[in-house]
Amino acid sequence: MSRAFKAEIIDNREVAENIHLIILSPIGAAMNPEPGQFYMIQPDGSFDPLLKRPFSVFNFDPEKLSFLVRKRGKGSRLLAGKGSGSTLELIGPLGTPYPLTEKRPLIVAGGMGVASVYLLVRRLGDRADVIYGARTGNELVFAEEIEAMAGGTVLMTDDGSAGEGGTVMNALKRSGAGAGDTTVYACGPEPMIRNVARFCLEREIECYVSLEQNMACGIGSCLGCVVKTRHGYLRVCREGPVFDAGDLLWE
Amino acid sequence: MDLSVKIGGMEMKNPVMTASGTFGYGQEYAEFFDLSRLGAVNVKGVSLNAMQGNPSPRICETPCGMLNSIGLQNVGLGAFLAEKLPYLRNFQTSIVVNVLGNSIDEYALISERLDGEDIDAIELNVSCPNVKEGGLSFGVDESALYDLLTEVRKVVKRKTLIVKLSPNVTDIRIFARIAEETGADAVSLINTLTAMSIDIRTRRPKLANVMGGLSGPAVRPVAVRMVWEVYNAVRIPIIGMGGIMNHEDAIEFILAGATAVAVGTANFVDPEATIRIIEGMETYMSENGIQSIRDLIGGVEA
Repeated sequence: MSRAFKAEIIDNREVAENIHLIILSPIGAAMNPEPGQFYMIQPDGSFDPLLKRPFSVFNFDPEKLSFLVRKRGKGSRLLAGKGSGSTLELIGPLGTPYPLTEKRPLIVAGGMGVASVYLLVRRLGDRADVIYGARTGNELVFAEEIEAMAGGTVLMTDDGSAGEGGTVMNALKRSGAGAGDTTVYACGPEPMIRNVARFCLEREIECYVSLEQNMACGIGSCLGCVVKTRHGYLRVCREGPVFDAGDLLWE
Repeated sequence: MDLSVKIGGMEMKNPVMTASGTFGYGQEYAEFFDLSRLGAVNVKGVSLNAMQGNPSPRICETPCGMLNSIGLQNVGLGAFLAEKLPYLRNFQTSIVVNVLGNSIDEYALISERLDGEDIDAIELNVSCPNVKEGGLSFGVDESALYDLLTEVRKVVKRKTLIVKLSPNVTDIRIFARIAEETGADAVSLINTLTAMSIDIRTRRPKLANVMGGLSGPAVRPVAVRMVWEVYNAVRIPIIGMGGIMNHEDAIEFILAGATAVAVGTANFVDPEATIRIIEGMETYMSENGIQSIRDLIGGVEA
């Protein structure tokens, strides 16, 4: 089966304001995505918007592929508006997954970053600790499921409406994460990722981050999604989206 | 049914090639289909030394199109010949190498080297809007283009020589005639249209390089018009491109005067776009009783 394929929406529900969970019909185990990988998606037959949009695989269970879509621009709004029975065009799974290590996994998710790490939490189960933050309690989607799967979960909100008041950085600083015994996995808004990466680098904690970038093709040909690294410009879609935080040179 | 065409000395089994810069060096797409099905592969522009390209963001979407300012990130001539070309040679397709220099000497040096390699054609990129030197400065200056092509033609003795024209000029026919006069075997058009887009919340350009090149369906009517103009101005064959998404678009370009077509932005949307287009052309020909695709070239009744 080609990694370019079509699939039907079997469920689309709003799980928080402007955030939709879209579940696709079974696509076969051959497409088995790893935590951290993504798919390029657009409604079938649509050239407006022209380009597919990248979405992290949220869950894959069993063979049912799901995505979290936040209504942000034209592409995501169109996708979130598609109901059961609609056909989507997909390419994937794409990109590098989160590398698993022998160390204690500490997963840091900010806002929609949860879409990228949910499958990782599921894979690691109670071995993993999770710090999950959002602006407000309503946006802490799937927090209960994560609490049930992970070893320990700390929830943070900017406004204190759920969990503790503060950011994921407050929780990370007192987490006890140390060099040599912890691997941090982070996905969220860029300022958060930068802060997590800086925190880990200063303490020599192994850290992998998942990055976002404007993307045209998702398969490595357009060279549109590069980030600056110690190895030159690398493609978020191909060498990423998961990078060793120590390799990144923030522009 | 005959889909084959000839561009100078380059034989193509069908008129569909990839547009430079939208197909890497082929490897990414070989995961999706057999590259031997293509009329030709045109690779990412090759410069003498590796280029790292422009900072991000390099692309953004615009209505029915996209802007890019990649800045010709490429592995350089040496690595291309050592690592990329041998891989492409595994496929039964013609190979076009897009060339970029920042002086006449550099274009000539790269072209002379490629003339002795196992490729089919050299396409001179004199129309990239995203680099400061070379590129567009030759493509929009008549005497600079004349001098460049005269020198390059002297060293390209065996391969088909194609000149990729810029649409960012008042009269593209003038530049096509210069290509013909100086001995080019073909012209390809259009490269991207210089363009700009602004984020009104941040008040910053959407691309780090401020300006970029517009491609996609948004440019197609402009490209079709320019192919038609050039078809009526020169006798050398034309490779038409600009927002071709399906076989109907491809046939539109052929009717306007293109002998072959290049598919660019569509490769980003659908990695198998070229194959859909080739299959669609075959269906169109059989449904309309067309024996040879060459019978359609310039066939618009205008």
